[in-house]
Amino acid sequence: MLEGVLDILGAVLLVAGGAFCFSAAVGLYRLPDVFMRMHASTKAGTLGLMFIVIAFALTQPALDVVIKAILVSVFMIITAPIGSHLVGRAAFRTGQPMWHRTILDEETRRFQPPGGLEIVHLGDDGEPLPDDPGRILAASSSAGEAPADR
Amino acid sequence: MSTLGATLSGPLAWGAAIAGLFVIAGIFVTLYRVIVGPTLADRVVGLDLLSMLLTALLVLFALAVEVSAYLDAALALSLVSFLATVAFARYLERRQDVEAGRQEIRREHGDA
Repeated sequence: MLEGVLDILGAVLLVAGGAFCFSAAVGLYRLPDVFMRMHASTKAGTLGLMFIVIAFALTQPALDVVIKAILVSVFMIITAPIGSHLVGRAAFRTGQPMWHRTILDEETRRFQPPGGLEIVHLGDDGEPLPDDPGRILAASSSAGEAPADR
Repeated sequence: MSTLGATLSGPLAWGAAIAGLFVIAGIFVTLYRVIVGPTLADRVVGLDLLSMLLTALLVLFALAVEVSAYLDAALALSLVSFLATVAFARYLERRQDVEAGRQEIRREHGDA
């Protein structure tokens, strides 16, 4: 009885996990810039992996296998945000192009990318916008004196 | 029901098969982004998701064929992929510093 219930629950969790994994991949394919793609892939991917691991742990009788499976998901939960934070910081600092509807005024004003890089906003066709707010901002701030630490 | 020589039967087998199809389709969609991705950061994000999907596929495979050794592989991959992501992120940041340093050296030599 319990076995059958756990099997059905496990099957539902497996399908849900697979669907979340696939939606993460679709988000990576559809979204317009690096930061949004990262937002889709990290969160939905971790959730999909977690669902699959929970389904595995529910349906296995042996304890050592269950502990290993839980360790997989624990490591992923710990490392996925750190890794994506590092990649996001690197992408922001190297001035990756952003979507043209991105509102970024506060951050750009506070944090100038090193080396006097300008942040370029892309239009829907993938080309830089002619009246780029990020470029204007970078030009007006670099017209003053150079940053002291560079 | 037998998928890839799997020994499971019942609802769990169907769930594992459907989830496996989803994950494999996701891997192909992610591969598109890794190959085409306009910038290096896109590719790094794609590789990050790719390793995560491969971990999910390994757990699914361990469930389907009932061989727990695949779970060890999944555990190792979940640890190693993090290191790969960190290394790629460091490379993304440092690459620009190196490039700026090269340009500075070039400028100095041009002046002298």
